[in-house]
Amino acid sequence: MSTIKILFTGVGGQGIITSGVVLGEAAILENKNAVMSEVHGLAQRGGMVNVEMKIGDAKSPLIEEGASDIVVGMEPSETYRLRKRYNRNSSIIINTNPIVPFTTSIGLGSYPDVNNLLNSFKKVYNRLYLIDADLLARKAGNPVTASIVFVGAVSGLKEMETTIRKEAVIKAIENHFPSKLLDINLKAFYLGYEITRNRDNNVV
Amino acid sequence: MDSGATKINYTFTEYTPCHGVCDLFNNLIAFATVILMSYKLIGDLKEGERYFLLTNEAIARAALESSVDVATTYPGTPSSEIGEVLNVVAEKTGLYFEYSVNEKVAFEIAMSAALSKLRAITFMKHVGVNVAMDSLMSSAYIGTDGALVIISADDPSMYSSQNEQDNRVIARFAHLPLFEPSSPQEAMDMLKEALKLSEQFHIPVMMRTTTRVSHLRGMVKPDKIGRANTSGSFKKRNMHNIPLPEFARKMKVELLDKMKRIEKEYDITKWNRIEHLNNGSSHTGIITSGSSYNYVYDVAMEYKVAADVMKIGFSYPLKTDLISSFLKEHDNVIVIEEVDPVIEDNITIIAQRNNIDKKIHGKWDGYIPMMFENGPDIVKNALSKLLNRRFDVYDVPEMDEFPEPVRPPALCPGCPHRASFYIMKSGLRQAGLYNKSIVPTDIGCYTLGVEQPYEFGDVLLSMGSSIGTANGFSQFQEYPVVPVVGDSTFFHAALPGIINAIHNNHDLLYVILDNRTTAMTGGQLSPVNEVDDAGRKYRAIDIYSTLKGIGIDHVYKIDPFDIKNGIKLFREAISEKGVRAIIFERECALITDKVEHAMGNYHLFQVNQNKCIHCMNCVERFSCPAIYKEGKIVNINPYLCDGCGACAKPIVCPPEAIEKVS
Ligand code: SF4
Ligand code: SF4
Repeated sequence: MSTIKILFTGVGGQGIITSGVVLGEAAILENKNAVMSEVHGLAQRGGMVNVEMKIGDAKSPLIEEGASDIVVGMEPSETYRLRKRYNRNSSIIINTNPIVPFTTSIGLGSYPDVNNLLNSFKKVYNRLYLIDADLLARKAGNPVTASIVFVGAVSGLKEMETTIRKEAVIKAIENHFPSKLLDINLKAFYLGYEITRNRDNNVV
Repeated sequence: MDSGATKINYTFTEYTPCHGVCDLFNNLIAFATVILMSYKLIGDLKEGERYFLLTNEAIARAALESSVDVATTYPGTPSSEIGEVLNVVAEKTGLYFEYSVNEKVAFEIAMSAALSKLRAITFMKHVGVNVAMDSLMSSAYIGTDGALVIISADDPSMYSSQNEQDNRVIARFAHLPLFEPSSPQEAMDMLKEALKLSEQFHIPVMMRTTTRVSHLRGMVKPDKIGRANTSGSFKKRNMHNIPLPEFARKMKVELLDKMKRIEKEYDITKWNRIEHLNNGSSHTGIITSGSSYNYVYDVAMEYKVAADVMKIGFSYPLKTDLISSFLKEHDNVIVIEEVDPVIEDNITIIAQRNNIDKKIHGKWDGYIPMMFENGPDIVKNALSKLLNRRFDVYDVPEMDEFPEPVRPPALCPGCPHRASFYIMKSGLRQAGLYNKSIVPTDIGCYTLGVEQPYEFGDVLLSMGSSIGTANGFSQFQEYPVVPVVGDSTFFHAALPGIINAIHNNHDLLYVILDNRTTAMTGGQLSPVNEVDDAGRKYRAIDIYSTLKGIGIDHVYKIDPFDIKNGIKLFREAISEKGVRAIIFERECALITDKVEHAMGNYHLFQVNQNKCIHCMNCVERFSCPAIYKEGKIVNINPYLCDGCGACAKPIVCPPEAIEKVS
């Protein structure tokens, strides 16, 4: 596999871009090429946000249907929405905490039962990691570090070992955050890292 | 974003800071500072090192490196970050940066710099170029003494635009040489080259990006920054700059001659290169540009497709010989580009004129769709058809069926527009005019007023079109007409429309939603502001006195959070005749947050379940995204609530069950 393709999905405000930028900067520290797509503009807070990224010999971050190697699903229903973009053997990390949009309160659409949804994921995917990222982030000291919990979880995956070393990601985190936020972010990183490291899947 | 030095008329001192979520907010601020810092850092990048930059950041950096003297813009997605960066780093080189009132003025200022022997860039979204068009069309006739590069940020698939016009067509229309970058590094290199080309041939040059390029983050190696010079010298040339018919005809002759010379003399080999992917093939020739090149490269490498790829970075004027030989040397030729078949048409003409009888695949025969952006799947399908080869597909399993909740873009929690819509909708309902009024809307966050439950907005064409169309609707149909506009859009394009309405005695109620900023694109300066982020001072233009000054007798102004009086005032205004205006003035919640949080003030509201009577007014009619219901229980999401308190007013929550948490 010459390139690693990572699909991030979630809701505006969850720090998706931060996760991607940290991983991309780590790739550059490792002398690897990285490309990433971002979304900006029209009222993004609370809207769907997808970020796509490739590390290795690639020019466009856009991932073809089914081809994602790693999925960072920061929100369960958003991960479900993009199910055509990854495959049976993708490494799929899903945050178990739903974000229910206000539209369901005014009768526009509805939110699925989270447990049923997650069980359905368990049935079909071989490498699934369900994590309570919000809980881990609070453990690290602040809910907003959830995006770095995911960076940790991605870094702990086997396929990342040969792509970006843990040390490079830590360096990227150090470069990225001001010193007063560094400790909680490093803590968040390790909490995520431990979840996926050396495991084939982790269903909690 | 506004620094907060604009006076805030609303006091928050009655609220005590919230302790429960302060930490969260403190860190949110710190995160925001990270972003701002990184924009500042664009001025301090070390040459030769590698950075992970957005194309728009790379373009701003390139402006510093190539000693651009003047940069102007009106914010518009996907071009906005260029200005956001330049606004904070301009002083590094002494570059003059300006948020102009609209794209036409931005263009004219840049042109005047280019006529004063300076180096200028002006950048805008694709539809912004339409606003600049009147002047842009004459610019190549007049030419430049310095350099002028126009960056058009197109938006295929319309992620945040009203159409997906392909502005490469404008390059040909206006006779401007055209560059199409594919990556941040290339955008950087091309901007530098475009400036040189402009100086060499005394002609404005265009560079077209697309959303996927503007917002592509990739590796960039910066160079040294230069030094700007803002004292130019204008050479008086006795009518040479005035396209009166007699001179304009001469200019046209010179212009076409210039384009011929560029085609002949300008060395484009660096930009229009042939790559032999997987050792190349005389069987398959792919001609591509911009973002599409990236997809072609990735798909070809992934599936080991042997092909010769002509990557077109300089797409107008196209060099004929290069294209002819490429056509002759390949059995199958396909053109892969985004939006209109611009290069494809050009190539077809070149083939026809050079007696090359070859089928050229692309958009016209359906290999590539005629609209929307391309992507790896589109390119994969096209190549599979062209090569008659099946590519592997991934094992995408079927999952059980689940509902997919909708997440339309919505006004932020705490947004003043929500209260304004609530006022107007209630006012119309009370006056028996609900669904019996025409609301031409305009471009800004408030366009989202068309969404449920406000459904406030009936027609929209372009920036400022609400007042123009309202002029007509007030004449040609019987319902009252209530055009809506924001402060920045008001100054951008609405003034002639208002003057027209007054002068022609039309009958309409003009609603100005003044949130003290250009919010939709990230909170850039608006003419109502006095100070910008960097602390620079401006003369603020007052909307109320502007409207009074041009002759509207009945101009009202109110804080939209004063919902009860707002409804009264709105009803009064709607019952009157002639041109009237009502200004709902309250600053964007994101600015309020910034100012309040900097002072350590955090607010949060929650529903007191003992008081709630489950009328659902707050959920169904006010509909702040922070308010939700679970069964019959109404709650407020503490992470989303902005603490604005608008929903706590008895007019929204009759039993006053929504209470401030302290
Ligand atoms: S106070 Fe009410 S209206 Fe304001 S943000 Fe909070 S929930 Fe929304
Ligand atoms: S408006 Fe007030 S009383 Fe009515 S449902 Fe909302 S919180 Fe409850």
